[in-house]
Amino acid sequence: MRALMALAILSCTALSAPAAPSLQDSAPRDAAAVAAYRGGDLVRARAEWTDLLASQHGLEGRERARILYDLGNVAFRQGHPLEAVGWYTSSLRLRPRDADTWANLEHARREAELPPADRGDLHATLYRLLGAFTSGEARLLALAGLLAWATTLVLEALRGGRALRWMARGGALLALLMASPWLYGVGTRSAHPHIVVEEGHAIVRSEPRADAAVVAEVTAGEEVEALDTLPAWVKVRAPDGTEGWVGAGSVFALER
Amino acid sequence: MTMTTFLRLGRRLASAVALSALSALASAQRAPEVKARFDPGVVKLGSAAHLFVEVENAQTGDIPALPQVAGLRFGAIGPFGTSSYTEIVNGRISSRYSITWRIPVQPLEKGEFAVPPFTVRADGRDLTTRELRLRVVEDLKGEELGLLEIEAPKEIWQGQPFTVEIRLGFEAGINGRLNYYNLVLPWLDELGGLVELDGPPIPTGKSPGKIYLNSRHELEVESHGQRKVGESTFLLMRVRKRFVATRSGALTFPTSHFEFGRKQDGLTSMFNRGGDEFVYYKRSPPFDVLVKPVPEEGRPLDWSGAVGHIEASAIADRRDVVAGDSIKLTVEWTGEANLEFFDAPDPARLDAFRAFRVYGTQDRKTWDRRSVTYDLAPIDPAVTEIPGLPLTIFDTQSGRYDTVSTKPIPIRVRPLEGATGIAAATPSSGTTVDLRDIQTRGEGGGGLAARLAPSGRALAGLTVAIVAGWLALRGWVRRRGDPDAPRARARRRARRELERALRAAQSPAEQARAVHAFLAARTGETPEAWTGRDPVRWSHPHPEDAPKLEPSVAQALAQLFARLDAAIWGQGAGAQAGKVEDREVLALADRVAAGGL
Repeated sequence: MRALMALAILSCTALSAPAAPSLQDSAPRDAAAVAAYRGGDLVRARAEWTDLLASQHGLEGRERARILYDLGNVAFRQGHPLEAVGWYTSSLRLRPRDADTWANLEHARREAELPPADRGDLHATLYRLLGAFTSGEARLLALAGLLAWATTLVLEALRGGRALRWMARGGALLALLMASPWLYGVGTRSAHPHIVVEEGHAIVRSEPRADAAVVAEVTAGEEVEALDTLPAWVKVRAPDGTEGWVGAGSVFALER
Repeated sequence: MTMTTFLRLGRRLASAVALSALSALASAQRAPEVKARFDPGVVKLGSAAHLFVEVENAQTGDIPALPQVAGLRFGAIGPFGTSSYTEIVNGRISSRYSITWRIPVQPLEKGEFAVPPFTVRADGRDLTTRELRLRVVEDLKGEELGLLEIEAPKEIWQGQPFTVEIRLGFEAGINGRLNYYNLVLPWLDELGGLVELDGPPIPTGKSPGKIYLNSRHELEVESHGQRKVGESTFLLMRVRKRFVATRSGALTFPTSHFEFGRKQDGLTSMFNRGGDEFVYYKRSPPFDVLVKPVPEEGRPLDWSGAVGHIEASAIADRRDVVAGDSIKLTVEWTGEANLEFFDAPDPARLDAFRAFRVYGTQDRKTWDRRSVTYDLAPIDPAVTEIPGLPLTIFDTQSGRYDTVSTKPIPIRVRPLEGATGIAAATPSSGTTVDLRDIQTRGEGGGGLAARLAPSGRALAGLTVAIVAGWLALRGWVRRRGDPDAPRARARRRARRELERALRAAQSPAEQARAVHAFLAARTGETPEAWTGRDPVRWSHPHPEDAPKLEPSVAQALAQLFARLDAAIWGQGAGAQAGKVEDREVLALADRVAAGGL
């Protein structure tokens, strides 16, 4: 039985092991971007980091998150707090517990006259707790919960009895609890999330034309899901379910 | 302190107490209160008057007896009349009842009659009236020599203050002969639903003196010039009184009189002349004021209870402060409204003042203005103004609910030096909140979880596999019998029980019993079944069948039985000698269990 369980764990981890990141390749460009930022050349810093993100697809998650965070600082220093909000939000998706990113995100939101990302009430705290794990961490946690549950189920199957039945139920509950961050991520993360970075609000039109009918408005800071893209236009689904086209400059892709 | 000042203070106190009581108890049952008055207060001999007795906040009552007053004959008391009304105090509305008796009074002779206080029983309580006075005169002469006009609005809103202006005077030609002036207002302080408020003071130098009020008090009057009526010229005085109606419905003001003439004990502060006594009377007819209820439709939840036309203004004592420093914000509400009685807004409950702490308020009330000083402290350096303070009122001019607000006051809030407690975001003096710096390589680290974590599909598959595996395993186990059955549990427990029994055994006989119990638990039989049994024959009773135990194990078991029997029968039960080693027995038990038994 133990051998079977070990095999199951190994097979699970082996299925998903990603390729090793190529940090060595990105080091010179990153150093150049940092130097440009320190020297006040924000345009060059932005270009270097943006190219780095585009070229290094295998970049490990935390490293990507750091670059996204740095690009948020660049955008903020260039006087684009709404865009900075986009970069920081994007960074937090990969590194949700980073205190610096949270601090800068809230600062940028204040500057952009948006409500705080974490209002501090019970509801917001609960969702921040659920979202405090990266995707990988959430899956590992869910795996641990499942294994604990499996153990209780094996004991129950072999021995039976009321106590072990209750233990199996408790194991199920524990597994559900430990899987909740993963389930929350699965349930809430859209495939192509974007955040509205148009000051005030962005106009949603029925077709990708400037004279098309206005079907909705999405407020700055709101998250929408991108459904399609055209040059200069992005088709989005608003939080209320309305679908339509917004100018490409009005939204910021969070998956980067 | 003059009598008038004393009376004014007393009235103010009484009004405040009455309205405070109304305010505090508006939603609860209030104590009944009795009021009584004569209508009219001055009556000609031969004419009838009425005694009105009204008890507010009561639904039943009776007057056991009226006092005996020589010269007055009271009619039958009769049943009381009931009326219901709504009352509004400080925005709180409640339903009330009152009961009223109207008792006829027949004067038998002229004179001034004092009716002593008498008892009225209402809702089980005994209440006492005040002393009442009725003047009976031979003739109400002098109508043409006097002037008495009472001016009041015909309609008002419930809770809206209003002014009753009383103009009184006498013919200028008799001026030199007068030393007695008495204004008889039988409704003053005796009309239910009407509360007197402080009114505007008489300008300095405009008062010619004092007159009597209801034959009891002194009242300062204001000179009001002269008026020509026909061929006669009248010298006028004026009295202005402010009231607020706390209930809806009609307020009936009974007949009022102005008495003037000459008496030995007349007031001489105005004029002081001698001569024969005489008194003239000028009558003012009764009149009604209709009190309209404040509409329920459109009433905001945060209505302060203010009724009238109000303007608001605000000033701050300081406009450049350090975060946490106190600012005294003085808000003034003026206008023709019940300024004394509404609930002043509380900034601590307003979202707009979230960046402020409110340490206290100081409330000042006068008849023409309400002034509240708020002790505020901005706690956030980002604050740039003191927001406008809204007050929800019922505007009597438009007949609708409205909000009057002060204008925002720009302020500057400097960060507090070295502070961390007042506001988390408050930086040190001379610094500002800024972005945290960029992160460079090496600060990120980690990433192990992403590499080790299974994919979502793998997790979903594992969940299904766990459930399927559990069901399969459970089914397979159950096919061999219920693992939770008593026999199965006893079988699992057998080895542990054997060890325990051997440890406690004092003789070979007890050892034999322990071994028999072990074998019985493993085979599902009783321990007695193993007494005298040959393990070899039991294990393999028929040559064609497979043995239940390996022959060597069965043989060893038979040898153990033989040794134990020898020890028991050879040396006597209970003897310590002849016991088999515990570990030897346990080793054999393990072989038996491993052999499939």
